[in-house]
Amino acid sequence: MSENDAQRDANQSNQSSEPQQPSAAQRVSVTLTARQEKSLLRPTGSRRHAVFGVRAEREQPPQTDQPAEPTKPRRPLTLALTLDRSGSMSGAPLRMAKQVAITLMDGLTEQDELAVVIFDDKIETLQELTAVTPEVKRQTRRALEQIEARGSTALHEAWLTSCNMLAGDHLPEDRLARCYLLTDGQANVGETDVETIATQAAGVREHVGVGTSAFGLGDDYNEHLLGPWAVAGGGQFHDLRNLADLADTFLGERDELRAVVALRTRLEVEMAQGMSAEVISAYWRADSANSRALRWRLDIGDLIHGEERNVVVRFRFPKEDKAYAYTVRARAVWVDSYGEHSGPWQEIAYTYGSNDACDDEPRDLETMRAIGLAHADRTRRRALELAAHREPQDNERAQRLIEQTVARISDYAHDDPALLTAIRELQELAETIKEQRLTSRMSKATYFALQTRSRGQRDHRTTGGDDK
Amino acid sequence: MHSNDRSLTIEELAEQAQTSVRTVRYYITENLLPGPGSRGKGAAYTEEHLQRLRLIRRLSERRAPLAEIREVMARVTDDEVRALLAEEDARAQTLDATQAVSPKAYIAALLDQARGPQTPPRKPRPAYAPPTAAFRPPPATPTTSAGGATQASAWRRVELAPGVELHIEEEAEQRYRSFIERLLQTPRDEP
Repeated sequence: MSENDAQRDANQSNQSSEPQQPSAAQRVSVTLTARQEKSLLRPTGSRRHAVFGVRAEREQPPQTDQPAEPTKPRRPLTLALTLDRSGSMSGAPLRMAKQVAITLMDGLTEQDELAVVIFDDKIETLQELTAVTPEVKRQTRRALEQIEARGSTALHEAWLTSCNMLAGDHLPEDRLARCYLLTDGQANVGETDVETIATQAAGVREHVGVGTSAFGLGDDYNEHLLGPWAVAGGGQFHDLRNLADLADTFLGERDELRAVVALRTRLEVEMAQGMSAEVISAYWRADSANSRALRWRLDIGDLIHGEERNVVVRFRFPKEDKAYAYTVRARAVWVDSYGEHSGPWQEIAYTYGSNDACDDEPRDLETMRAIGLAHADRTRRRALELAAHREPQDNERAQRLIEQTVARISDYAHDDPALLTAIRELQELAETIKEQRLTSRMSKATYFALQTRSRGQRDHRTTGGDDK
Repeated sequence: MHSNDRSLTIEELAEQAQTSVRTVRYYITENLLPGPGSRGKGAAYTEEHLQRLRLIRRLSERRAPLAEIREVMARVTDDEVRALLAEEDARAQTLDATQAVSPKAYIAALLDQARGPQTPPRKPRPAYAPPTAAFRPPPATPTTSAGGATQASAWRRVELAPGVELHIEEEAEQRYRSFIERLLQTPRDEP
């Protein structure tokens, strides 16, 4: 990033109207819509999908003759930059990361707080969490400029060190705290297990109020680690193809964070004894092993004004002799400047019917599209994970998985263009895996595209990249 | 439900259960709580009403579905209500204690775990093997010392030619010094 670019960013930060930054105290409503695939259940038991749409809106102030309340300043940001300085970052990547960190810091003000941690196999705190005063900016800039690349990658401990600096004595209701994790390599020191790390990320989000966004740079990082890490951490996963993407994405996410209106939005679901539930969309469910829990919740993330996320869930119902009808209830819960709120419960009712009646019950096309796309995305993610093993039997499993999903979606796709495209993409992936043409870059590009679509996440990259 | 000498108005009942009159009425409408002994302004509630209402609140706090609460309340006797309430009170206290852990303490525990003696390395998660695998370090996992503790291994990167790198463990660098130098002297335009 050049000085001109940095200046451009500073200007944009001052003048930007899109996305609009909310004031610190603004009432927000989050609406939940619940749509079901079918309402009838087979006497022998059924699996039925539901699509929960969660949308955040800033509430308009009431029209009165009273003078409007003065606009309060925007909600401050609390950020920790966690930068990889391991050997593979040497040269341009580290140079660029340092420049972007400086630019990002320059866009913050004294109301924001920043911490900077650098890591290889050792973790070093470059800047403790502190208000971003001009003096702090000067100190941090000097410290960043002196960093050189070395060593291997202790990603997990570095992340925890950053989160530790953001943690307070109490969980603040209305604070936007996020850890940005930038790496170009594989975690190879300390904890490296995806399940463990993702579970911890979800715990840190819930108990510490710190979200995690992961930025993978180049072709050698592990998207199957960074993706779940960010999803469970309530943040975003970003695929940075080149150094230009690094600047666009860091600054894009920072601006988006400033525009957040509904913090820590979650979906709460209640279901009846005998049912089980499986989340199809790319959201982290902490107790996913307990699919029969009568009440569970899903972290949807921090939402900006007008943002809508779809969550597809598959419910399983037992045989008819257990009950004659079932009800699923769901509601949205979120935090704004006035505290935690919950919306009204939305109910979906299911009753048993004959097999003929089940077959005859029409399906809503839009609902089926959302369900089909969620399944297609999940299958592609799983196929990529299997193909990454580079084992013939895993390649075959990936192809079989794709075939099964294609067959199921084809049953209800009819001539829906979105679903036909999803089927074609699945078939192309199967071919690529079969012919062993899947490169690291293709895998990352596909994984990122799926993540953005399934979670309604934005792609901040502005340059074309080579995703072959 | 037993009769009891103690008689409460709906306001007193709500206050003692730390809820609202509106909520009490809602529970009665939903058949979670029996109605009062008499109707009208002087409607009277008993100690059993209060115990039942407290149990409903506890079940509701841990977010049991209404249908489930209704089912429980319909089948339990007054004695069972007291026993269940005692269990739920104990559970709530444990939960409060867990939630009382401060964010700082929560993270500190995770950090201690990460920095402390490590468990033996897990089966490495299969990493993506790029086409240039021959030029990469072996799948990097923490090495395990005789004592079972994991140690970091440090690697150095040597650029052999534009786009071609050699990664070598620091400990092995001395051993292969002459080999690396020979590689560095290889004409750069060779494939």
